[in-house]
Amino acid sequence: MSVYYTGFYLNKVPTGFGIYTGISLTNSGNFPVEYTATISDTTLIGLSSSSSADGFLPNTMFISNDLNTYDPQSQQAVQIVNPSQSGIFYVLHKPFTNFAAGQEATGYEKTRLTIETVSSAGGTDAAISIDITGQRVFAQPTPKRVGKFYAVKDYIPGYNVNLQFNWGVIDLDNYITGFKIQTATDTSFSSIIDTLEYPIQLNSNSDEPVYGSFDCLRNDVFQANVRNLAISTNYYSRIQPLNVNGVGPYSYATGFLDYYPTLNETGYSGLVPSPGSNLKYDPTGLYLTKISDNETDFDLFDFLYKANNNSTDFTKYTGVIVKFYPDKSSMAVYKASSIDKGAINFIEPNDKQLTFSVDVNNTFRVQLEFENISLYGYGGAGLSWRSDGTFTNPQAGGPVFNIDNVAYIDSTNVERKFNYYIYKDVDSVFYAGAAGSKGWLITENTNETENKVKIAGSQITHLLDYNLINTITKP
Amino acid sequence: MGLNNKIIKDEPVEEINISDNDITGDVAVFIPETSTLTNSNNNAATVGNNSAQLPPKLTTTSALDAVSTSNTVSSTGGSTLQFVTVGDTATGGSFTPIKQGELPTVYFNFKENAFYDGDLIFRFKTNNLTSTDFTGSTISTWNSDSTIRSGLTLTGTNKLKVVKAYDKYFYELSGNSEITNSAINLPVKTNPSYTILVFALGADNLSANDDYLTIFDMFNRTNVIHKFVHNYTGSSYFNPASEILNIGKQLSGNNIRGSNPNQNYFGNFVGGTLNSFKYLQTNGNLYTNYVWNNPTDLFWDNFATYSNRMPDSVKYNSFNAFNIRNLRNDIINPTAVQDFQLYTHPSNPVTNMQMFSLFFVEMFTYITDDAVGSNYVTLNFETYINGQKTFAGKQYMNNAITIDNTNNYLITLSNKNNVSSATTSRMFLFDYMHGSATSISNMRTNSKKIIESLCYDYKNIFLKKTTDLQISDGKKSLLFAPKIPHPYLNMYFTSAST
Repeated sequence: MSVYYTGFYLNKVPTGFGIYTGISLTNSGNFPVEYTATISDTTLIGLSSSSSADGFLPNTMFISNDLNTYDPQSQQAVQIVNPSQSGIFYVLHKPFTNFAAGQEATGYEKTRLTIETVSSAGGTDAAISIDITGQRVFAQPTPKRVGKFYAVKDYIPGYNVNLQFNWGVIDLDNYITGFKIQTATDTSFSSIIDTLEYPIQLNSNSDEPVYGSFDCLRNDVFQANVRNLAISTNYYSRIQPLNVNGVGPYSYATGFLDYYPTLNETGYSGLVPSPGSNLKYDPTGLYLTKISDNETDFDLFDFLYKANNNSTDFTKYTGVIVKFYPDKSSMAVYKASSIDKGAINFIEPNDKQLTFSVDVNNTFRVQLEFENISLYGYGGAGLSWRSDGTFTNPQAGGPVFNIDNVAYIDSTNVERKFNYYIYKDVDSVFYAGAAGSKGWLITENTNETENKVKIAGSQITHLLDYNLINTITKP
Repeated sequence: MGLNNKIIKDEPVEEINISDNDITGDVAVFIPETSTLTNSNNNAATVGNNSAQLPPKLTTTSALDAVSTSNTVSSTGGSTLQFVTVGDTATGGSFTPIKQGELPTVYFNFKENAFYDGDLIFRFKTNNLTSTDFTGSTISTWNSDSTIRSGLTLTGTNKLKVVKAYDKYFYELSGNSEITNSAINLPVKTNPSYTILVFALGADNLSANDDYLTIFDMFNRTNVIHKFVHNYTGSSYFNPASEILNIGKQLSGNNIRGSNPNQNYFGNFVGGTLNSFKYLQTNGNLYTNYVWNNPTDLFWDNFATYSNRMPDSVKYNSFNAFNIRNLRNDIINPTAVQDFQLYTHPSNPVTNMQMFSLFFVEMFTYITDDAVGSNYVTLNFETYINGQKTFAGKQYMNNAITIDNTNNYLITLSNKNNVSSATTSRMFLFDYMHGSATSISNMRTNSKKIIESLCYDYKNIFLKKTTDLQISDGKKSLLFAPKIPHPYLNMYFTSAST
């Protein structure tokens, strides 16, 4: 059995805002039914043309099939509803606002909604008439709590720490003209370092309420940023809804590192207990993978530089972890091309000065993890004889790691520096280049000048694994 | 000498063996046969010929030998030849070069690793031991890991004790003792299987101040160490009660150690549920119907000293041992030797051990279809110790033989040392496990992952540190010399300082 309303009151709406209600129609018959809802002109009780600044009293109540798109000029909406299905007509109300000076008045605004029914099987039902009364008030009630308030912590070069705030309106009958976000460095919000006012922009479209929408902006997502905050510093943030009559309750921010977090029910409802999350941004590690079968003079500095978007600014990080793996080979080989190079090189170029964050030990952690990687330093050269009897001295072997000591003294006279951590698996080998050996001169004491045999020192390409493994073997 | 001679003969100049003399740039010389240096009327020609006969690389007889930095004089036939070193000493690659007079701070450790234990059939482990287990009292049982399979025990009355080194707890097995169980019922696996034993041998003092002699002596005393065999006799040739028993062969004299110290039969680690007389193809004569490999195909045969003195020409590659003591781990005093520090009782002082050698033994068993004759398949056994292949054996199985679902196995871990002295062998147990895989490659992969993971678990033992090992600071760095403490470290740097 259908319930036919004959009339109802809409909630009070402050001038400048809007509200809606839905009227659900259920087709309990056996055939599709076409419903046609027609809304009459609005009667603004107690107002006359002299009440209006332009002498015109427009309609303030509308009919629509949709909350988002509607035509205020159209006073009719049509829906076809299948058997056992429901359709909804929305009645929108934005109270009269265009008062002549000194003519402001609260009051009622009413209309009649007539719904006609035509069955697809033929036949009609009696039209339903519903009188709807809207209430225009001036007082803006205390705004209701804001929900979905969270802060995404990020670090943007040039902006230091950035807090991106996101929030939303979750209640109807919530008449808000703006928001205020406070950020403090303490949990009691006694040390507020930033207050961000976020006014809601007035609608330029006269078909909309002056502020917001007919659904009190519940479908809108609000976003604002606070930038240039310090790294590794405690921050807490809270938000209040505003209107001319005051402020609403605080909602406290939940912090995330993800731009698309999943909020729990508490966060969604704005009921996160004070003071909310600590929004401190701690620099984290940069995780990288290096996959290659062969490298010569591998430039770790350049690898990190490029991985950091061609930037020497590593202040977002307190460390970097690089995992080295072979590509297709069972063992990758990293070699050095000269004694001045290492198999792994981290040399800070003069024109690229690193900046970086440090952990509690004032160090930036460079962790290199090697799995199935052979690192060979450049082999030295043995003494060589020239034809004139002079010689070239043996050459030293090269390092396997050619690593800068990266450090600086900060403003508090504390040294901040790189610490390197080198981790290997069982199979990885780290062999520096061996030195070349001396030469030999074999002489006979009795006749040294004629009887000399010159023997050059040995030249070493690189050490072989088994050379080292068996060096304590005795026959 | 066999080691170096062979390399010099076979390898081109650039791949010759390197001694630490080369690395440090000091001079060492192998003086060739002096008979070729006889004096004659044409000294130049004679010496020149001799020079041509010199190996392309001068090398010492041993990397451990003292090196000469002064002239070496050889007197032959009333004349004197001088071997004069020429040139400056070059250095090997240091860990880090000096930049602006400073070294960076560098730490080292093993990479973190874990393994999936779902393929294990049993495991005895020590990483579950805590300080509450470290009582100083002897105990009698090593219980299996209940998360893999509970209820298995290796027992020897008061033969075990929980000891501690560098915050790791493990077992010491008393001398002249064993822990054993002759009735461990296991599923018989025809798919590839692996058994892993991690143990250490140690001595308070070195024998004759020599790593190698000490290690050889330790093995000579501890003898068998491991046995994992179907507890089924079936033949006089195959007696599970025999002290040493490998894949169907009972050794004469029940003894793996040779009378000559050079006979180091260390490759006796075999474990698998097919290690049974019941599954052998015998045709009534064990000696003639299973095939042993020729060990010369083992990849490190250049260094092996193996013996054919065992019956039926069973051959093993010996394996080298290493002394963790050789790791210099004090950045404050980077050249100092640090003994391995062992605690055997909460209230006892530390024991400074001059020898502590850690062994990771991987024993593989798998069937392949490459036997001669359609009636047979080949049962393969391989053993790796510290990553080096030490044994590979094959025998035939009748491919129509019925494999039992389960059998009772005899497992024994033993330390036969019965000598009491500061240089005597002490044995320590860390891990013992057995598992199977779906393929030979998976078997190797699984075992590899386990070894990687165990190395991470035992990193404190390797490094003699409870933390990452600092190998460089602002002024100096540690030396990782060729005399390395363990093959899994695989590191060589010279030290550097400002």
